[in-house]
Amino acid sequence: MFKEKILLGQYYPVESPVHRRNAACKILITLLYAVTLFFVEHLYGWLLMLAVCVGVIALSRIPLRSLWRGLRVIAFFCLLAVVLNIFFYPGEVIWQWAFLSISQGALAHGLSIGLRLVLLVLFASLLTLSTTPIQLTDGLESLLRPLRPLHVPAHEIAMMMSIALRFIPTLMDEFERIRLAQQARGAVLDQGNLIRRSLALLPLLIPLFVAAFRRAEELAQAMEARCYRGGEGRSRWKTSCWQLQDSIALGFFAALLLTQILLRIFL
Amino acid sequence: MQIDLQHVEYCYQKGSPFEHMALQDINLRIRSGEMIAMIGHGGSGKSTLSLLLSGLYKPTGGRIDTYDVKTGRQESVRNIGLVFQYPEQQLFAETVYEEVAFGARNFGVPQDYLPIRVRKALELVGLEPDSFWNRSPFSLSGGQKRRVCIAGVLAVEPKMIILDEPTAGLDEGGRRWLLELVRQLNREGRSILWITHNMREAAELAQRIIVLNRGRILLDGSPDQVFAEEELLREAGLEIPMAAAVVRELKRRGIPLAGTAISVEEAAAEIGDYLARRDAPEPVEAEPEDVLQAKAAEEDGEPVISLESVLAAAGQTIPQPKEDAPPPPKEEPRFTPWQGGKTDV
Repeated sequence: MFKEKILLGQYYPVESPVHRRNAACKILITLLYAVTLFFVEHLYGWLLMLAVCVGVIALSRIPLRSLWRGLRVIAFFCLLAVVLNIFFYPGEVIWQWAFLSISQGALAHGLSIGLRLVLLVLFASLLTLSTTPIQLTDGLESLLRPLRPLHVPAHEIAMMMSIALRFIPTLMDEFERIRLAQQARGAVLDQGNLIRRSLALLPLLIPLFVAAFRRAEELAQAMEARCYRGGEGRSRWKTSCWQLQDSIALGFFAALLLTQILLRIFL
Repeated sequence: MQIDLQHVEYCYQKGSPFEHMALQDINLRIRSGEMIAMIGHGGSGKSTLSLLLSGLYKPTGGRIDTYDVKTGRQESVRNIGLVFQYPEQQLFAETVYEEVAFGARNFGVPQDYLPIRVRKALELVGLEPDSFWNRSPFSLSGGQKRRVCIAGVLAVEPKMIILDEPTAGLDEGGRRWLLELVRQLNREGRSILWITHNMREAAELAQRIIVLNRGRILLDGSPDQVFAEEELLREAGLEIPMAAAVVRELKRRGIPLAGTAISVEEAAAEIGDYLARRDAPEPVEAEPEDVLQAKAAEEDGEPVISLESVLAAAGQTIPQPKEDAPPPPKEEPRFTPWQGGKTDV
């Protein structure tokens, strides 16, 4: 009854070359793309990044509506960032009105900030839309495993992530239930000054925390009852493999990064 | 206080691919002082309807009017108390006093009156105020936690109380206590809406039963009227209470019973009457061996009848006279426990 909220970036199940790629590969690619975005300057650089993004979207067969949902959230911040950058970019003033001023290159700068954010969010959405949460945590674990000798608890981190992902909808339901119950007892959340509003959150947060701790304890007991002993010697049912296509894809994005660096140096 | 619902509908996530019509074309009138049980299988819209009635949700179609019959004025949400399912999940305060006073304080009860309200509410639910009100609600047992939550609703002194599966997770003693509490509240003049999927509870409690099926009202009437519609209930995924089913089945097989019993007590009365009538005219010294004697015995105020013995009596006594009956048993038959099991549905 309360499962009304659709989780942002939820997995969109469809067959596509992007969906088939190894999750670790996709995570690395997303990181590479994100880093590349910060090297882009020239117009041609931007066009290239845009083209790549559009290409991946097309390949993934994910409907634009799902992608738009992810963008909608940051739309406000994006706009804010763009506006602030346009009006407060230092340099020679070419337009002025009251206390607002736009300097040379401010427009281009502001737009590039905006574009950077949009592409970043789009690509990250693509990652979560084309990869199930379990695949994501497995991929993360594979990436972190080489760091084990450095005492990085790869398995534990991955387990925490997958538990968190699994319980987000459950806790959201719980929160909604608690909110309705307290509302029935006359609790108001949107009135009064900041102090009063913060205090009004207590009847919501405390039961939620209590419920979360209770679930954690039950889950731990259940896992132990099934002989869970941590990551040592633990195997996986669905093993992911690294295919040639993954290497090619990774190579492509590495090349993209290189290209952007070169473009920046030589243009 | 009266609540009118006209063509009420509630649709979750209208316009999205997850659109779900939880309630359709609900027409109801709830009057002051009524004791209503609402039954329906899971997903039939019971909880949604409770949220609409209490004013927490607004209908997506139709209208709901909650008003005072004498003055015609709108009544506010504070006059309808809603006890959620597993209400222990809402506990948050540091002391039982704070927990119970929360609702009353929010709804504007003056500071000076709060202790009186809290005391009265705690006494109503059977928790000694002086020993309980400084304790942490989290240190209480499950049953005590539930009582605290109900006290919280009672402290507001609402004119109507809606309880959503209030006996979920309670043991038999707790169940009986709660049923009695609700009866008392109703005697004091409050309207009660008891939502359950347990037919026996509905039979025990209600003057009026509303049956929901897939978001629509299937039946709305007195328990007699509702339980007469066995077929409809079965289609809706519900069964009539075991006692009622037994009596009606016996009647179908030819035993001259009234066939209108709903609760276990009524069924025992009907069967007991029949046996008294059957046994009274000709004093038969010895009962034939095959004819088991179904004796209704009092056990904790609940009659214990052996289903097999009564049915066996049906098979044996209807067509044939007793002449060729074999010699009687020398001892009293043993009572077999009620076959229906503890939970009747």
